[in-house]
Amino acid sequence: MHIPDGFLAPQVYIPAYLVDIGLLFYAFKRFKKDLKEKTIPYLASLSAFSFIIMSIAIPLPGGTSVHGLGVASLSLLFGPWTAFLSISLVLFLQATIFGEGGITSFPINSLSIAFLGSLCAYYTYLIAKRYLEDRTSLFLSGFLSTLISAFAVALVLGIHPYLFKDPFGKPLYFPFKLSLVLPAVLFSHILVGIGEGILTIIILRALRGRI
Amino acid sequence: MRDKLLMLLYLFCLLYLSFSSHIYTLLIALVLLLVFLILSPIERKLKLLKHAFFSFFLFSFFISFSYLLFNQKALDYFLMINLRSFDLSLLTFIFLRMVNLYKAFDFSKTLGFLLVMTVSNAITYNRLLKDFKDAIRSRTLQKPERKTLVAFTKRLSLFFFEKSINTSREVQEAMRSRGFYND
Repeated sequence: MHIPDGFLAPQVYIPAYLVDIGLLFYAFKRFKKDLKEKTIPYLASLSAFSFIIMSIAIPLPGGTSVHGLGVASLSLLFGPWTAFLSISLVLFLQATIFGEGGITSFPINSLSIAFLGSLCAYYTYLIAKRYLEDRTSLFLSGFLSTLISAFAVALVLGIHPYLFKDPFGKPLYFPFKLSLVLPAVLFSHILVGIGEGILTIIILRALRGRI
Repeated sequence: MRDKLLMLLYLFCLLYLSFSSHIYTLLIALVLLLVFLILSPIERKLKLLKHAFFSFFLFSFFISFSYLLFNQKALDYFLMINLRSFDLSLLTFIFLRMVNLYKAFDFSKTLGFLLVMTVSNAITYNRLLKDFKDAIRSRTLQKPERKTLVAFTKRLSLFFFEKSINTSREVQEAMRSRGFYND
């Protein structure tokens, strides 16, 4: 989510940076252990690949289209930790080099979209494919990963008015409470989730045999 | 060294402004940032200002204005949050123009290479994606059908996936031949 700087309290984004850096460091160690000298070029190419997936518009029934995130596709193709790493790298570059999204919101986006989204996509697919057909499991994986990311971002935003207010009760950062933010963010992400589900089916069906 | 020092200064200012909730402090910071921008050797200043403004405006204005509609006494909140958001965006954009980010991160050889390679790949892929989009636009007179768009998305993902794998293989060999890995 494009949350500009200024809406998140340092008491939230500093710990989030610490957790995120720790998780990224762990993911990188795992990745490096598996790939050794292939690590840097492989990760750079995968991140560029996920950057492109984020730029592809997914056609939805009814003639509209949305931009996917590619989190579920990457997670199912390369594993959740690799997806977390490459999507975080893209989010970081978007916030710094391309100037999209705030520096202070980067760890929240990285943890909610890249980390939670990747894990949710991977395990949703693992569980769903036991009971449902492949296509439905892929769709669910993309759909739920988007909703869980949206839920996490809404949760972080929604706790601000409870925690950070001046002596007169006025908010200092994000102003709306959970009761308003959660439904607003979740409902607006249903369409994005459907797009992500469709994108996951398309990409996985095209690429699965090639890894 | 200059880039690393500037990055430390940027982080200090970022933290200071993030903690600040006084309208006057934020207003003074905005004036200082604008004066710095005018006096600095940065090129295309107006473009930077526009970019910084539009990067925060949509979200910030929408949220703060909605809040103002619900709480008519919240004008000071409206001013404070928009000022802080604009200050931080402008600070970041000025920092990004003044600093070579690759040099600022070159304390880690791996991170430096990773950033350079990812950005160069992303720029190349973005250009290719634009070519693909132009190609489908020039070959379809009306808005393409959903079936065509699905096939197009499939082909795109396949193309970029294979390109990523091939590029990473080529880059790895190039890095090895240039002695990047200590074997």
